[in-house]
Amino acid sequence: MAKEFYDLRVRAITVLAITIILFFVIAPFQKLSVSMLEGYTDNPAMEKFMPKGFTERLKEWNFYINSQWYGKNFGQIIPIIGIIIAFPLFSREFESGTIAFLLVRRSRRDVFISKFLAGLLVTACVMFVESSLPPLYSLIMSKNYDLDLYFKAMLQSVFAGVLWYNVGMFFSTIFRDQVKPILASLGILALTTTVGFLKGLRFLNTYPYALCSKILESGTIDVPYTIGVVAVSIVLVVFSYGAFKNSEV
Amino acid sequence: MILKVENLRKYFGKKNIIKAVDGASFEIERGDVFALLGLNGAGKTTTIKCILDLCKRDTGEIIYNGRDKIAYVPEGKELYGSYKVKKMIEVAKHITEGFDIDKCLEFINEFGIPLDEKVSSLSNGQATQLYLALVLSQRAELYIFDEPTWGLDPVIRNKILDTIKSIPLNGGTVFYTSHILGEVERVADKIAIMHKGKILEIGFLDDIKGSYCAVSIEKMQSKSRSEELGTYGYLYKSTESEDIYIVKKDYAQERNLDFQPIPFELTFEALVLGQKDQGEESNEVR
Repeated sequence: MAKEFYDLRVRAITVLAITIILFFVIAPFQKLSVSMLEGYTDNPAMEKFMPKGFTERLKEWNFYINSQWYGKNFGQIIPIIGIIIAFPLFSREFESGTIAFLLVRRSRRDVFISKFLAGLLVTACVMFVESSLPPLYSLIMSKNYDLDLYFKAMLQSVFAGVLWYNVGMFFSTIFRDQVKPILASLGILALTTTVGFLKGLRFLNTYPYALCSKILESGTIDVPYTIGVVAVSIVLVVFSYGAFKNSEV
Repeated sequence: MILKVENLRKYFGKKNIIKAVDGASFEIERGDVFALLGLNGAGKTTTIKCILDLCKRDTGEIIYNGRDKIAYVPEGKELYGSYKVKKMIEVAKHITEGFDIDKCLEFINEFGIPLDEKVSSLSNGQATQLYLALVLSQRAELYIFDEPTWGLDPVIRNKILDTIKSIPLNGGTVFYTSHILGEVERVADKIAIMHKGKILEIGFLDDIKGSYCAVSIEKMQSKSRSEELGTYGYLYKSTESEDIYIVKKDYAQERNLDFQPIPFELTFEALVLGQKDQGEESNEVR
């Protein structure tokens, strides 16, 4: 798997760096955000978008950082991070012709397992590090932070990231260039999100899960949805392996 | 026998319209340098890909009697362009069973490839030599080379051909494809000529070279002889006074025809161009 980690290093470091920068655009500016929002308190047009008392709650550190990080900025990019890590896994090898170099030396099963596990591990680590930024920052800045919510949000972030990693990997095994897997994965993300606005198809929208909506509202993990995410991930892995096993070079 | 391919078929396209490999059969003995010759699109690369399971065959049987993995240099010699040569060798060592890194570094040194250079910065010749170094450092009984000298200058080409020719001296077997006849004559012991997915001729190179000849027929001399040769031979050249046909030597000898030996290129041309598409009148050289 050393080769796979080596291949993933640039993407993983770039994603981590961008997300850490994003975090530092949010975390240190609690007071500024609150004061800006207070300026709109008497604006009737804003009442539609901001629940009553929201600005007051933002003054509380835990609510501010959890809602702005898990519930907004980080949560929104979780699917994209999963897709970015996965889309070139196999398609880059097919596109550049290097897949033959691997397949005459290793069995298809070995090649698939190395690539899948390396990507999975990197995705999970990126999700873990990024979702751990609020407690780390709180510790450094000596702010009180509720770790119970962090553990739950971290778990859901990892599962959501892994789901979209598997979507990206599936398309990476069936297409022979790098553009189609990313377009197809983003297309599925857009489609499931849009269709998920329809009544009865809400489960297709993975954003409430990635944004930890239930955790932020009630403090509990969305267990049924997590089971669904794991089940869909397993199905995607099986299909990806089937596609790769029968692929022609 | 190290490799046996029997009745291999691989079709592509809607309704299997493209018959890339159409019933190819051959055997390679241990220690041989076996060359599969054919024009571009003859089906040589698809045959190799089926042997290596890079392509799924439609029908046929492939028996490989080696213990080690088959070593393979593909037509494109695609390596990881973003890696440095040193990293490429490390990766090859990591993923290749029985990889001898010292041997590889010896080859790299011999070929004069800089270790700190990026693979994408290497010239076509250096990239081929790097691929060759990686493959020759692999413990293998069968080495497959698909058009290994494509796009190389004569000096590097000769070096590579010499390296390939020396493989049987170390106990290896070579399966080699090319459409450059001079190379094949220099390297191969046995050959198979492939055209449109079919094997037209197979055997020792010297036997094949000696089994075809040119026969000249004066046009006014015998119309019926000319017609017969038109059916059984390949009309190589036609002048005002005579037609020159390429036929099997046995055929010429049986009929007491005067014949001339021909170079291998003409044998190849006669075999390949004498084949007509389905539906056309057969002009197979007999």
